[in-house]
Amino acid sequence: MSKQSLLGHFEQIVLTAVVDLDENAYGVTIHGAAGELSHPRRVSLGAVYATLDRLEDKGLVASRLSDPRPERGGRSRRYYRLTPAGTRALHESVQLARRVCERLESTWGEKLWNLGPA
Amino acid sequence: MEPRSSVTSRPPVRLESAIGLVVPPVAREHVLGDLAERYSSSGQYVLDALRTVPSVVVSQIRRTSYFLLWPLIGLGMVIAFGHGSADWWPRAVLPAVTTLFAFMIRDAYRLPDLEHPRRKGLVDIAVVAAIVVASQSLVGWWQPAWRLTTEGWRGGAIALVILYVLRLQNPNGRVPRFS
Repeated sequence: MSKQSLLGHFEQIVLTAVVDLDENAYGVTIHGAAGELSHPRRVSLGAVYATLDRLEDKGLVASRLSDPRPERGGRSRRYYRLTPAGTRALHESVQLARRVCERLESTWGEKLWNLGPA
Repeated sequence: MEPRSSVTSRPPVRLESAIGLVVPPVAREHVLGDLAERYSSSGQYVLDALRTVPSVVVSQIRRTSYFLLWPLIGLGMVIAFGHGSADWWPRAVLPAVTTLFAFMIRDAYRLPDLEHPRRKGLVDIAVVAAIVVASQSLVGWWQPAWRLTTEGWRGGAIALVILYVLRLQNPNGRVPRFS
Protein backbone atom coordinates (compact mmCIF):
# COMPACT_ATOMS: atom_id res chain seq x y z
CA MET A 1 0.00 0.00 0.00
CA SER A 2 1.55 3.32 -1.08
CA LYS A 3 1.82 6.19 1.37
CA GLN A 4 -0.34 8.41 -0.81
CA SER A 5 -3.22 5.95 -0.70
CA LEU A 6 -3.83 6.48 3.04
CA LEU A 7 -7.02 8.45 2.65
CA GLY A 8 -8.66 10.28 5.50
CA HIS A 9 -12.21 9.48 6.49
CA PHE A 10 -13.71 12.56 4.87
CA GLU A 11 -11.49 12.22 1.81
CA GLN A 12 -13.00 8.79 1.22
CA ILE A 13 -16.49 10.25 1.48
CA VAL A 14 -15.72 13.05 -0.98
CA LEU A 15 -14.03 10.70 -3.47
CA THR A 16 -17.00 8.33 -3.26
CA ALA A 17 -19.34 11.25 -3.92
CA VAL A 18 -17.29 12.25 -6.98
CA VAL A 19 -17.45 8.69 -8.31
CA ASP A 20 -21.17 8.45 -7.61
CA LEU A 21 -21.97 11.72 -9.38
CA ASP A 22 -19.88 10.93 -12.44
CA GLU A 23 -20.21 13.82 -14.95
CA ASN A 24 -22.25 15.93 -12.51
CA ALA A 25 -19.66 16.22 -9.74
CA TYR A 26 -19.25 19.84 -8.72
CA GLY A 27 -19.30 21.71 -5.40
CA VAL A 28 -23.03 21.76 -4.71
CA THR A 29 -23.74 18.17 -5.79
CA ILE A 30 -20.63 16.77 -4.09
CA HIS A 31 -21.69 18.51 -0.89
CA GLY A 32 -25.15 16.95 -1.15
CA ALA A 33 -23.83 13.46 -1.82
CA ALA A 34 -21.22 13.73 0.93
CA GLY A 35 -23.92 14.82 3.34
CA GLU A 36 -25.98 11.74 2.51
CA LEU A 37 -22.98 9.46 2.99
CA SER A 38 -21.97 10.97 6.31
CA HIS A 39 -25.49 11.18 7.74
CA PRO A 40 -26.29 12.00 10.55
CA ARG A 41 -23.08 14.04 10.71
CA ARG A 42 -23.52 17.35 8.91
CA VAL A 43 -21.07 18.41 6.24
CA SER A 44 -20.19 21.99 5.37
CA LEU A 45 -19.61 23.20 1.83
CA GLY A 46 -16.37 24.81 2.99
CA ALA A 47 -15.07 21.46 4.24
CA VAL A 48 -15.90 19.92 0.86
CA TYR A 49 -13.94 22.63 -0.96
CA ALA A 50 -10.95 22.25 1.36
CA THR A 51 -10.95 18.47 0.89
CA LEU A 52 -11.25 18.77 -2.89
CA ASP A 53 -8.29 21.17 -2.88
CA ARG A 54 -6.26 18.68 -0.85
CA LEU A 55 -7.21 15.82 -3.12
CA GLU A 56 -6.28 17.86 -6.17
CA ASP A 57 -2.89 18.72 -4.65
CA LYS A 58 -2.33 15.00 -4.07
CA GLY A 59 -3.21 14.30 -7.69
CA LEU A 60 -6.23 12.18 -6.79
CA VAL A 61 -8.80 14.40 -8.53
CA ALA A 62 -8.65 16.79 -11.45
CA SER A 63 -10.99 19.68 -12.18
CA ARG A 64 -12.15 21.86 -15.04
CA LEU A 65 -14.30 24.96 -15.33
CA SER A 66 -17.51 24.59 -17.30
CA ASP A 67 -19.05 27.12 -19.64
CA PRO A 68 -20.95 29.95 -17.89
CA ARG A 69 -24.36 28.85 -16.55
CA PRO A 70 -27.33 31.25 -16.63
CA GLU A 71 -28.88 29.74 -13.49
CA ARG A 72 -25.71 30.70 -11.60
CA GLY A 73 -25.66 34.30 -12.77
CA GLY A 74 -23.40 33.45 -15.66
CA ARG A 75 -20.80 31.80 -13.46
CA SER A 76 -19.10 28.54 -14.31
CA ARG A 77 -19.14 25.31 -12.37
CA ARG A 78 -15.93 23.54 -11.42
CA TYR A 79 -16.39 19.87 -12.26
CA TYR A 80 -14.24 17.24 -10.59
CA ARG A 81 -13.27 13.76 -11.68
CA LEU A 82 -11.10 11.01 -10.24
CA THR A 83 -7.64 10.57 -11.71
CA PRO A 84 -6.16 7.06 -12.14
CA ALA A 85 -4.23 7.66 -8.90
CA GLY A 86 -7.46 8.63 -7.17
CA THR A 87 -9.15 5.48 -8.40
CA ARG A 88 -6.29 3.37 -7.07
CA ALA A 89 -6.31 5.18 -3.73
CA LEU A 90 -10.06 4.74 -3.29
CA HIS A 91 -9.81 1.09 -4.33
CA GLU A 92 -7.08 0.45 -1.74
CA SER A 93 -9.13 2.21 0.93
CA VAL A 94 -12.14 0.04 0.12
CA GLN A 95 -10.00 -3.11 0.29
CA LEU A 96 -8.59 -2.02 3.64
CA ALA A 97 -12.07 -1.26 4.97
CA ARG A 98 -13.25 -4.69 3.80
CA ARG A 99 -10.36 -6.45 5.56
CA VAL A 100 -11.03 -4.51 8.75
CA CYS A 101 -14.71 -5.37 8.53
CA GLU A 102 -14.04 -9.07 7.97
CA ARG A 103 -11.60 -9.22 10.87
CA LEU A 104 -13.97 -7.46 13.25
CA GLU A 105 -16.86 -9.62 12.14
CA SER A 106 -14.86 -12.73 12.95
CA THR A 107 -14.07 -11.31 16.42
CA TRP A 108 -17.28 -9.53 17.37
CA GLY A 109 -19.76 -11.42 15.23
CA GLU A 110 -23.21 -9.92 15.12
CA LYS A 111 -22.21 -7.37 17.76
CA LEU A 112 -20.37 -5.48 15.01
CA TRP A 113 -23.72 -4.49 13.45
CA ASN A 114 -25.41 -3.61 16.74
CA LEU A 115 -22.97 -1.04 18.13
CA GLY A 116 -25.46 1.80 18.22
CA PRO A 117 -27.43 4.18 15.98
CA ALA A 118 -25.98 4.56 12.45
CA MET B 1 -29.12 14.69 -6.16
CA GLU B 2 -30.42 17.71 -8.01
CA PRO B 3 -29.41 21.09 -6.52
CA ARG B 4 -31.94 23.79 -5.91
CA SER B 5 -31.71 26.33 -8.72
CA SER B 6 -33.87 29.03 -10.13
CA VAL B 7 -33.21 31.46 -12.92
CA THR B 8 -35.19 34.11 -11.02
CA SER B 9 -33.68 33.49 -7.57
CA ARG B 10 -30.29 35.19 -7.41
CA PRO B 11 -28.36 36.99 -4.72
CA PRO B 12 -28.27 40.80 -4.85
CA VAL B 13 -25.41 41.96 -7.06
CA ARG B 14 -23.83 44.18 -4.42
CA LEU B 15 -23.98 41.47 -1.78
CA GLU B 16 -22.41 38.96 -4.16
CA SER B 17 -19.69 41.45 -5.11
CA ALA B 18 -18.91 42.16 -1.46
CA ILE B 19 -18.55 38.48 -0.67
CA GLY B 20 -16.60 37.97 -3.87
CA LEU B 21 -13.95 40.40 -2.62
CA VAL B 22 -13.13 38.04 0.23
CA VAL B 23 -12.94 34.88 -1.90
CA PRO B 24 -9.47 34.29 -3.42
CA PRO B 25 -9.60 35.04 -7.18
CA VAL B 26 -8.60 31.52 -8.20
CA ALA B 27 -11.72 30.12 -6.47
CA ARG B 28 -14.06 33.08 -6.94
CA GLU B 29 -15.89 31.94 -10.06
CA HIS B 30 -17.04 28.52 -8.91
CA VAL B 31 -17.53 29.35 -5.22
CA LEU B 32 -19.76 32.34 -5.96
CA GLY B 33 -21.58 30.26 -8.57
CA ASP B 34 -22.21 27.46 -6.07
CA LEU B 35 -23.41 29.92 -3.43
CA ALA B 36 -25.70 31.54 -6.01
CA GLU B 37 -27.11 28.16 -6.96
CA ARG B 38 -28.03 27.53 -3.30
CA TYR B 39 -29.51 31.01 -2.85
CA SER B 40 -32.96 31.29 -1.32
CA SER B 41 -32.77 34.56 0.64
CA SER B 42 -30.19 37.21 1.50
CA GLY B 43 -29.99 35.99 5.09
CA GLN B 44 -29.44 32.39 4.00
CA TYR B 45 -26.86 33.53 1.43
CA VAL B 46 -24.86 35.48 4.01
CA LEU B 47 -24.94 32.57 6.48
CA ASP B 48 -23.91 30.16 3.73
CA ALA B 49 -21.02 32.45 2.79
CA LEU B 50 -19.93 32.82 6.43
CA ARG B 51 -19.82 29.04 6.78
CA THR B 52 -18.04 28.48 3.45
CA VAL B 53 -15.66 31.32 2.57
CA PRO B 54 -13.31 31.05 5.59
CA SER B 55 -12.54 27.42 4.68
CA VAL B 56 -11.89 28.44 1.08
CA VAL B 57 -9.50 31.20 2.21
CA VAL B 58 -7.65 28.92 4.63
CA SER B 59 -7.37 26.22 1.99
CA GLN B 60 -5.94 28.68 -0.53
CA ILE B 61 -3.45 29.94 2.06
CA ARG B 62 -2.40 26.36 2.74
CA ARG B 63 -1.89 25.73 -0.99
CA THR B 64 0.13 28.87 -1.67
CA SER B 65 2.30 29.40 1.43
CA TYR B 66 5.70 27.88 2.06
CA PHE B 67 5.15 27.29 5.77
CA LEU B 68 8.26 25.11 6.08
CA LEU B 69 10.39 28.09 5.04
CA TRP B 70 8.72 30.53 7.43
CA PRO B 71 11.10 30.01 10.39
CA LEU B 72 14.09 30.66 8.13
CA ILE B 73 12.53 33.66 6.40
CA GLY B 74 11.24 35.00 9.70
CA LEU B 75 14.67 34.75 11.32
CA GLY B 76 16.25 36.46 8.33
CA MET B 77 13.71 39.29 8.47
CA VAL B 78 14.23 39.75 12.23
CA ILE B 79 18.00 40.04 11.67
CA ALA B 80 17.46 42.44 8.77
CA PHE B 81 14.95 44.68 10.57
CA GLY B 82 16.95 44.53 13.79
CA HIS B 83 20.09 45.76 12.11
CA GLY B 84 21.62 48.59 14.05
CA SER B 85 19.35 48.08 17.03
CA ALA B 86 20.12 46.45 20.35
CA ASP B 87 16.50 45.58 21.16
CA TRP B 88 15.07 43.16 18.60
CA TRP B 89 11.80 42.60 20.51
CA PRO B 90 9.41 43.94 19.43
CA ARG B 91 11.11 46.47 17.16
CA ALA B 92 12.35 43.84 14.66
CA VAL B 93 9.86 41.05 15.33
CA LEU B 94 6.74 43.09 14.53
CA PRO B 95 7.75 44.05 10.97
CA ALA B 96 9.11 40.52 10.39
CA VAL B 97 5.77 38.97 11.37
CA THR B 98 3.95 41.60 9.30
CA THR B 99 6.10 40.69 6.29
CA LEU B 100 5.31 36.99 6.62
CA PHE B 101 1.61 37.69 7.07
CA ALA B 102 1.57 40.06 4.09
CA PHE B 103 3.23 37.47 1.85
CA MET B 104 0.76 34.83 3.05
CA ILE B 105 -2.25 36.97 2.11
CA ARG B 106 -0.68 38.25 -1.12
CA ASP B 107 0.15 34.74 -2.33
CA ALA B 108 -3.35 33.48 -1.53
CA TYR B 109 -5.03 36.32 -3.41
CA ARG B 110 -2.75 36.68 -6.43
CA LEU B 111 -3.40 35.23 -9.83
CA PRO B 112 -0.28 33.87 -11.54
CA ASP B 113 1.06 35.94 -14.40
CA LEU B 114 2.49 33.43 -16.81
CA GLU B 115 3.57 36.13 -19.29
CA HIS B 116 5.25 38.57 -16.87
CA PRO B 117 6.29 36.69 -13.73
CA ARG B 118 9.09 39.13 -12.90
CA ARG B 119 6.73 42.07 -13.02
CA LYS B 120 4.25 40.19 -10.87
CA GLY B 121 7.03 39.46 -8.39
CA LEU B 122 7.86 43.17 -8.20
CA VAL B 123 4.21 43.95 -7.51
CA ASP B 124 4.24 41.32 -4.73
CA ILE B 125 7.25 42.97 -3.07
CA ALA B 126 5.73 46.43 -3.49
CA VAL B 127 2.46 45.31 -1.87
CA VAL B 128 4.27 43.69 1.06
CA ALA B 129 6.50 46.74 1.50
CA ALA B 130 3.45 49.01 1.51
CA ILE B 131 1.81 46.86 4.19
CA VAL B 132 4.95 46.98 6.34
CA VAL B 133 5.17 50.78 5.96
CA ALA B 134 1.50 51.13 6.88
CA SER B 135 1.93 48.88 9.91
CA GLN B 136 4.93 50.90 11.05
CA SER B 137 2.79 54.04 10.86
CA LEU B 138 0.35 52.38 13.25
CA VAL B 139 3.19 51.20 15.50
CA GLY B 140 4.66 54.70 15.49
CA TRP B 141 1.33 56.15 16.59
CA TRP B 142 0.73 53.47 19.25
CA GLN B 143 4.26 52.89 20.61
CA PRO B 144 6.83 55.29 19.16
CA ALA B 145 9.66 53.45 20.92
CA TRP B 146 8.94 50.37 18.79
CA ARG B 147 9.48 52.09 15.45
CA LEU B 148 12.17 50.79 13.13
CA THR B 149 15.49 52.56 13.05
CA THR B 150 16.96 53.87 9.81
CA GLU B 151 19.34 50.92 9.74
CA GLY B 152 16.37 48.62 10.28
CA TRP B 153 14.54 50.10 7.28
CA ARG B 154 17.71 49.69 5.20
CA GLY B 155 18.13 46.08 6.35
CA GLY B 156 14.48 45.34 5.64
CA ALA B 157 14.71 46.80 2.14
CA ILE B 158 17.77 44.67 1.36
CA ALA B 159 15.99 41.60 2.73
CA LEU B 160 12.97 42.24 0.49
CA VAL B 161 15.24 42.52 -2.56
CA ILE B 162 16.82 39.19 -1.61
CA LEU B 163 13.37 37.66 -1.18
CA TYR B 164 12.35 38.96 -4.62
CA VAL B 165 15.37 37.27 -6.20
CA LEU B 166 14.65 34.02 -4.32
CA ARG B 167 10.97 34.08 -5.31
CA LEU B 168 12.01 34.46 -8.96
CA GLN B 169 13.20 30.84 -8.80
CA ASN B 170 9.52 29.90 -8.67
CA PRO B 171 7.86 33.09 -9.94
CA ASN B 172 4.30 31.87 -9.85
CA GLY B 173 4.61 30.23 -6.47
CA ARG B 174 2.77 27.10 -5.44
CA VAL B 175 0.13 27.50 -8.12
CA PRO B 176 -2.82 25.19 -7.55
CA ARG B 177 -3.05 22.63 -10.31
CA PHE B 178 -6.15 22.83 -12.44
CA SER B 179 -6.52 20.54 -15.42
